[in-house]
Amino acid sequence: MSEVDSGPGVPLAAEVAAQAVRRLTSAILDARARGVSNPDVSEKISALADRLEAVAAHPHECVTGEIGTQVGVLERSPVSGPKNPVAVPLRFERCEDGSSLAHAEFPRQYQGPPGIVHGGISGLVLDVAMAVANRTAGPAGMTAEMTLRYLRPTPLHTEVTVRGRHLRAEGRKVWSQGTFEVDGEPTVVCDALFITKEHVQ
Amino acid sequence: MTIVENLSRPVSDVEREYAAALERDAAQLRRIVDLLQRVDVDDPLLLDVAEKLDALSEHLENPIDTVTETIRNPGWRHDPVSGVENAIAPPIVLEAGPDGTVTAEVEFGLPYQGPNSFVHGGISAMVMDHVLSAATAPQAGVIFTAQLTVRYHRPLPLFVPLTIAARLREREGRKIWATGEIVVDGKVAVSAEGLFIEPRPKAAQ
Repeated sequence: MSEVDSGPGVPLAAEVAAQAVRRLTSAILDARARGVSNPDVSEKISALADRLEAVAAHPHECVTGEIGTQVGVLERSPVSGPKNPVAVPLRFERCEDGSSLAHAEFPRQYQGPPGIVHGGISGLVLDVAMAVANRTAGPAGMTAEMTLRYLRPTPLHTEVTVRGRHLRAEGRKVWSQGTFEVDGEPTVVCDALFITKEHVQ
Repeated sequence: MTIVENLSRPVSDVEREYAAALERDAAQLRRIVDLLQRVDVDDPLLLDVAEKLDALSEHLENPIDTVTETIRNPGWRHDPVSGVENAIAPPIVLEAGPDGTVTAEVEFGLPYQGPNSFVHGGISAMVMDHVLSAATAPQAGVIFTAQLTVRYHRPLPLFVPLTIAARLREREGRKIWATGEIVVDGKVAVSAEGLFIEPRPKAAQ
């Protein structure tokens, strides 16, 4: 089993900041439950944002890569990107059978119904899990269609096993499957069709 | 008329101000979510910002004073798509028309990027799940997705206004079918259809 990304080293400053943003995102969502009497910290956050704004590049200058140190698409992804606070982030591994594997616990910011992971999050995460598995077999391609079946709720704050599998390829079409599992039972199953630029060998 | 207004129950002034404070917090933190994609990843300023954000988390996680009044926890302000108190939500503000169609206008920025300059395909799937759920007009404010199919017709660019729409197609007991799409420049880029299940009345709070 090999890891898809370069593995842990000294985290970049942006990764440390992203982790702090994740923590505060949860803390804001949990403030009611904790009964915080004065939850308004917006002026302090705003002052920090202003300092970052002063050194930030224009959004359009940032689409093709990173400012400064070169890091790849995985680093900035809303699923696996350590420097993207939208991401949990998940670390995908490639298994010997070609499937992708990650473990995740979803905190409050991924909640849909009370105590349950938002249904849309599985679509977001499994799209990536399947793309990683496809890349092991050949070109990942672009998602053309995906069908998600929800078998049972996926709870928050619980270990979820995320898997992606490349099923078969024909011409430019690639079929894949992704699953969320909790305690060995599937909670979400996703079947998808990806289209590649070139014919798959 | 927004979905939030549809679903909201009467709230006290205290609750309203409490919610407004959390919404302000999330709005400012959302700026930082975006800024992290636009600052040199090694800039030491980021470490200073992280330290100060952690101090704010510490304050919220270990409050010295707590409120005595009950502050309810409406889930529709928390979700990762429309949740105004959730810094990772774009947030997509939904409006419900008189015919039951739910619509939204949104522009996605760098945190939602997949391929260079395009919205991540998984983000579209997440948004479709949410907007179709909202179109089912759940009585209890909670609905469960049973099955969702998302089709990608053309890529969705970042930084341009997108129109999202969804509508209820059919209802049969607790089963509700809904469809929707994301449109850019008048063309459908992503379409979706879903089957949703309402919780049994006794399970709904």
